[in-house]
Formats: sequence, structure tokens, C-alpha cells
Amino acid sequence: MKTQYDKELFEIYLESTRSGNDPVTSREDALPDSLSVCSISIESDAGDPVCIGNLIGTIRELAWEDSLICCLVLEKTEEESYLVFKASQFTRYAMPDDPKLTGWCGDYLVELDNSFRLTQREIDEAVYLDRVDAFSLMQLQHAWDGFRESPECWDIRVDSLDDWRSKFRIREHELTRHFRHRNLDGNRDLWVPQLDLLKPQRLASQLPLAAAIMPLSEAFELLNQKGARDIYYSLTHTLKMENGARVSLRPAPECLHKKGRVCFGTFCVFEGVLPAVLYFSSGGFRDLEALQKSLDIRIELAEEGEAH
Amino acid sequence: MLKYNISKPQRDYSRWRSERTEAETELGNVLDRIWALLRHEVPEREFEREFNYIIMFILRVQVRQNNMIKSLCRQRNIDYWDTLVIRAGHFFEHLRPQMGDVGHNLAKFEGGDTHAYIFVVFRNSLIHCNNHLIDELYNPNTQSYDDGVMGDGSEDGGIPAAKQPVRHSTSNFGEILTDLHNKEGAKAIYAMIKDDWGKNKINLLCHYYEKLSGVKSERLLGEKPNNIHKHHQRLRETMIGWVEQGVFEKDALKVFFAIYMPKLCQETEAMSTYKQAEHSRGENHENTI
Repeated sequence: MKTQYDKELFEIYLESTRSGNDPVTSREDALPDSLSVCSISIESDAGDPVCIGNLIGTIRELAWEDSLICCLVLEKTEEESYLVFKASQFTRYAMPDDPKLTGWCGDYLVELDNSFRLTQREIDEAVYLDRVDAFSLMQLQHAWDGFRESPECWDIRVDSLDDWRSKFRIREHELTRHFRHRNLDGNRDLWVPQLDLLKPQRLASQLPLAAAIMPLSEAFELLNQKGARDIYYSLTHTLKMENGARVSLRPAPECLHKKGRVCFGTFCVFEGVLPAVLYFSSGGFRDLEALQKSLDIRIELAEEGEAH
Repeated sequence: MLKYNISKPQRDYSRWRSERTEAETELGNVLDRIWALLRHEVPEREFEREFNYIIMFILRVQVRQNNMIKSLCRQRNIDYWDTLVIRAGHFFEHLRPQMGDVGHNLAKFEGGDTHAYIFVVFRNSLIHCNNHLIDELYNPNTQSYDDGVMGDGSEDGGIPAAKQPVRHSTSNFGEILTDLHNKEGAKAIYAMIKDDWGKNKINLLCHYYEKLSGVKSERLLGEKPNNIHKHHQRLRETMIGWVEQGVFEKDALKVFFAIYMPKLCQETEAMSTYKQAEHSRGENHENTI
């Protein structure tokens, strides 16, 4: 029974992230066009006048393709650009160190590992949902300072990629993929579930491919192998160890600037026009051949006609 | 023969519902009526009747979540209709203080459908109300629903006892603000800052608060952004340290920021540098953040 409810709870969460399944568009209650913008008066008359109009600390819902993205605006970074974090009303899926901030409607979990930038225009187009209090914002800024300094100290990793919290986190990153990737630069890594969500000590036992080719003990050894290959060539890409903790992925010339996907096993971690180089965390792997084989890294080009 | 027990809220709602025309129950009209309720545009004598539009909204939106609540209520022998009335109350309480913000943002929203916009705002509040109730009903350790209900530990909740009263509580900023204990804590923080902090530190705190509030601050205009950033960082460490060390409670600090910071900033003259403020501070108290 509990499992059935857990499954149902997760479905409820998933539904909240998809547009087009609410009564406005999908049921007999659909809004007739003639009723739009009618008897609603919208002058501001209530609330804290200090805060009204302030974008910082607002929770917003951004519609992107067929997805709904709940997010929190933390600060203005440069002209016309804001630092935004993925947020969610479904706090039951919070990791131990995820900040939980209080709004007028209730708590929101905020994902420090899932930030992106939005323009002023995009924020104006996103629906205002709620506002968190000033001290919660202070706590978030404090947490963000700490997370940037030493992300490894934050307990936001899981033992298995199959539990509900993992599924939640993976979906949350899927939702923001477009926004995170358009700001990719040399400082920003791809988010790879096997490397960034799973606890490092669980990696070997969770990789089906690794388990299929070798016994677990060997898989663990492979992760820590010294003097291993720090460059790996395949038909579609080259992997190179940049330093102890980062790997670069360079698409082959025939893939470059074409629309495609980068997949790690069953997870698509990048979708869009392939740039010259992408980076991701090595997750403790020292041998790139082992990394490639264990995670089954692939570039899949989009069908003809979809290419840019 | 089956006997149906219809509770008072269900009876009242059914009567009200049967008197509504088709046009009145269209979602666009439901949203307009709720909007009017939230903006206090409804005469007091009609408030109770119009409140039913919120119940109607809850019954129609987030259907899957609502069905889960229905099922959990059945299992735990809790009156589902009571939860509807309570959720409607919380829905109203959550949104009422935000109407200024919603109105402001809606006015800036270009080219969209006003109904679709407020639908999304209302749905967020409903998701919270539903989530909170599900957490309470679902968690077997929740005391408020346990007594005499889960007797034999079976999936169906054993032999049903008499229907349990609903004691649905929420955790939101409105409740934190009105809690007397938090208010006392906030007052103590204000008094401590006024007594113990120098003007430079209060000026810095006000600058930080004004920045968070989106107010164009006249403070610290002569400071380099990098210095300000470091000062803010230390300020955060100090205040969050209070919570971690148990000096003040987190919720008291929330109330302090909401109630006393505007007052403190009004009382504190704007100074353009941290040093200038340091020279002009009154008392010689601990001044390092």
C-alpha cells in the first residue's frame, strides 16, 4: 500500500511539472476566450509595500515547451540577468542539506546544484507564485556561499538512482536543462546523475554496465586505478582528463555545431547544438576508458531536418 | 441497505451548488469570484456563500491529489469534507497577504490570459494545502490522526472509530508572523541590536535589507562592491550563527526582518561608507562582524 501511495505521490509531482494537463486546457472547465481579462481589477492594494515589485525572493513558474518550472530568484547578477534556483513545493523529496525556505503558501525546497540565469523579460513572463521572507533569503545566500566553496561537503547525494528522491532530482534537472546549458562556459559542468547525484562509494554497484563486464571488487579497483589512460578517443567524441576532478568532452568535427544529445547510459545530460567542448566531473574515475565503458557515453545527432 | 452520513459542510455545499447556474460554475467565473473574495470586494454578508467558490476550485483542480486525500481520509476515518473547508480557509489565508504582489505582477504580464495567470497562482496555493494535508495523513507518526483509528494496523485502518476531527496545521510565513513567541523573540533581537551594535553595523544591516527588498539604497555608496560583498557575507555568518548556537530562533529572525527592519532602517541615518559610520557611532560596543 505504501509503495502504491509513493508511486501516486510521485505521479502527482510529475503532473505538476507538465503543462497542458490542468483544467484550463484539458477539461470541460476550459476557460472560454470571451471570459479572459474581464472582471478582474488588478491594482495593488495589499501586502508589504516595501516588497511589492521586488523580484528578489519571488517564487515563479516558468513555462518552457511542455514543462512548468518552479524557481526562486536570488539575486541580480548583471544588467538584465538574474541568478535563479530550481525550487519545488514537493519538500518530501528534499535531500538532508537542501535549504527549505518559507513562503506565504508554505515551504519550498531549493536546489543549490540546480541554478541558472534568466533575463528580466523571462522573469516578467513567469507567473508570480509566492515570496519567501528576507531571513530565508539570507540563509539561502549563506548556503550558496558554502556550496560554491565546497560542494562536496553538502549532503545532497543518494545511495541509489532508483529511489524517489533520485527520480525527483533527475526530473528537476531535466526541466532546467535548457536554461542551464545556454550559460555553459568553461566554469560550468554538465550535471550527470551517475557522477553528481550518486554517492561516489555507490557508483560501482549502481552501474549496470560496469557490473555486467566485471565483478564489483574489480569495478571499485577500476575507479581508483593509477597511471590510467587520461585521454580516450571514440568515433563521436574525445574525452580528456583536464585535472584530477574534471573531464572534457570534445565532439568529433562531424558532430560539431550540429543539434544532438549527449547521453550517459540512459540519461540525456545535454540536448542542443553541440559546442566545441563540454565539461563534467570525473566522479573519482581515473581511467577514461573505464569511465567511457561504465557510463556508456554517447553523442546522438538529431534526425536530418532537425539539425540547425 | 447502505446508509450515507452526509456531514454539514457537504450538505451546505450541495445546497449552494444546486442553486448555481451553469454560467456561474464555469471556471472563469469561479476564478473571478475567488479573486473578488481575496480582494475583499465581497460584502461581509455574502462572504460565507461566496467562500464555496474556493471549495469548488479545490474539488476541480489537482484532482489526483484530491483523490489521494479522499482515500487517506477514508483509511484514517477522517471527514473529507472537513478537510475541504479547512483547506479552503488556508488557501484564503495564504493568498490574501499576497494580493498586492500578484496584482503588481499580473499588471506587468503582457499578452497573456489573466485567468490562466491567476489559475496558476491559485493552483500553487492549493498544491501546498494538499501537500501539507497529505503529509499529515500519510505520516503514521502524526499524532493528531492516530488515536483509535489505526487499531489493528491493517491497511484499511482496522475497525473505524468515530469520525476524527481534523486538526490541520500549516507551516507558512503568515503563521510565523502571528505567533506571539516569535514576536517576542523578534523584539528581543531588535532591542539587542539597538543596544549592542554600532551605527556602522546597523547601517550595513540596513543596506543588506534594502538590497534584499529591492529598494535603491543610499547607504554605502562610497564602498567598493567587493568590500560590501565581504561585509554582507560576515553579516550573514553572524546572524545565522545565532540560530546555530541557539542564541535566537530562526522564526524570530524571520519576524524581526519583516517587522523591525523597516523601522530600524527608518531610524538609522544613511551613511556612505562603513568607516564613516564607524566614526560616528554612538556607543563603543563590539563592532566586528
